Amino acid sequence: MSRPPAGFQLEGVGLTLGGSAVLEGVELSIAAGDVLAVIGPSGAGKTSLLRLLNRTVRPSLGTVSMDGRDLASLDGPGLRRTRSEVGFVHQEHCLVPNLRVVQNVLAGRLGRFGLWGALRRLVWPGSLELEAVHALLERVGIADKLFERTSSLSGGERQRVALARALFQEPRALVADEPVAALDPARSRSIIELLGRVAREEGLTLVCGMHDLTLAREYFPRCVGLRQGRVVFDGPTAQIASASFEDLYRLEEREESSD
Amino acid sequence: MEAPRIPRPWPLGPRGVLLAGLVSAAVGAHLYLGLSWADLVPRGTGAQVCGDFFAAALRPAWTYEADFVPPGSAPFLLRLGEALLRTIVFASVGMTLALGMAVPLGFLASDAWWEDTRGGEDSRTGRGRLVQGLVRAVMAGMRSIHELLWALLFLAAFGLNTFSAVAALALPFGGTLAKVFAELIDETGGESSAALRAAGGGGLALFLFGRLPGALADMASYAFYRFECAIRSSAILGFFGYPTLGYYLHRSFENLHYREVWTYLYALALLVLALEAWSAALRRRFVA
Repeated sequence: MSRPPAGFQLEGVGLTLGGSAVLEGVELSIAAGDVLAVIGPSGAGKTSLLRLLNRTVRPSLGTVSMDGRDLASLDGPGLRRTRSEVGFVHQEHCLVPNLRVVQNVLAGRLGRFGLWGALRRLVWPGSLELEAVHALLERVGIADKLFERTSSLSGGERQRVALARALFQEPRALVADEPVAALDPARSRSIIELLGRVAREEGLTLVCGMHDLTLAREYFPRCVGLRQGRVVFDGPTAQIASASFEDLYRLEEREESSD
Repeated sequence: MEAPRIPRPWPLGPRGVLLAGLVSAAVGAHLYLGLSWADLVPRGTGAQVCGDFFAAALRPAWTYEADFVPPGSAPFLLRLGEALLRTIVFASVGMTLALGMAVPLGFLASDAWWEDTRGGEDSRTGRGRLVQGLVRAVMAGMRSIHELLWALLFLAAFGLNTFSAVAALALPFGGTLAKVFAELIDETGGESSAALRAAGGGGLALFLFGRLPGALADMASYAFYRFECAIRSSAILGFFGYPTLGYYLHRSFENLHYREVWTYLYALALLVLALEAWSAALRRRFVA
């Protein structure tokens, strides 16, 4: 991919949603081309942190910048362009179930189509685009599903479509929010492996929020631990003590039982 | 030693109170009307008429029941066929107009439309709210008057012409369709369109690509159901003199030609059943 990968900088980021603090004092530096996992228990603020990166969410405090540009300053077409540079793979429900796979992948460039372009692609996608989508589906291993209705796919196949759509955006960074939360262990492993491989081959920045410590330690060279909205550790996976990983979840259990 | 008692909520909560209120309202309405089951048993000549009418159900007419048929009249079954065809045509044209109104109105009345076309999390503009409110008010006006009342109004205004019948159908049907379309669109859930917005999508394209496909199958299936209703209403409009099934049904009834009445009723029922089977087949094809 010709475009350089994106880097992110979070400085003193706090986020309050509905009166409760979701993130507090988050400092995070993601260099262009970094591959990292954001791990932590449910409710730790992983999703919110990831959403800051394409400005689906705005921080209440501090700044989030992409390649040195404050995302809060973006608006209108600039915001759309920046968003299209970040390929986002969601937990689930992010595809349009009643459309065919090809249209779901094409939707990755919806922001560039305009109204008539979008309508035309709903009815009759061009043959060049069809080939591009087919090639992407080949890469994620489901080329035979090109014209399948998306609702008929399995959970793992849907995540592959979601990844293909994110890649069709020609992104500079991939952000995945617990992409395997709804999958069984074998399929989880193959999706995470695929994400890592694609990011490496394309030279993309990859930020992946996840629960599974084993997968995180196996596939991600860097791990950021998040608990109750705060970063509790951040560094090369090999240098983080096993106890730190386990603490992320153990502390939470004690808090829950003390309620 | 006695076990400590666990305090529990009073069984008649707010829902219980509501239920009790509804039941007593129903009983009150019943008493107000002074219904008597004995009224269901016909007396005197009523019994005779009732007997004749239901006996005719077993022997629907295939030809005119009248002894004298004006020369040059079409055969009974041909007239039945024409009446059915006109009933379908009135309903189809009425539904087409209704859909033409319901699609834009339903879009504008949905929250999803404003969310998708106006940048999602950013709050809706004052003008957007005003337009949505106006559209909803127009829809409420259209559907709060029954098609038979619209027909009476249009008959008085435009006379007995095809347009008045079709417009009488189109207005209330358009209002109801628009309301249900808006609800179906809002029920799809915003996840897929939010994901596409996060990828840089927006505007009408986002609504059409990310939101509408999720509601389209249900919208089509509801439109088919309303088409059934339109067929029935179109038939009934004949009672006002429009040349649909109801016109002939009404005349046969007045002339005590009950066997003809039953033929018309069976034809209408068959038509509605056929339509239902067709729409079910279409739904299977499109939704599966």
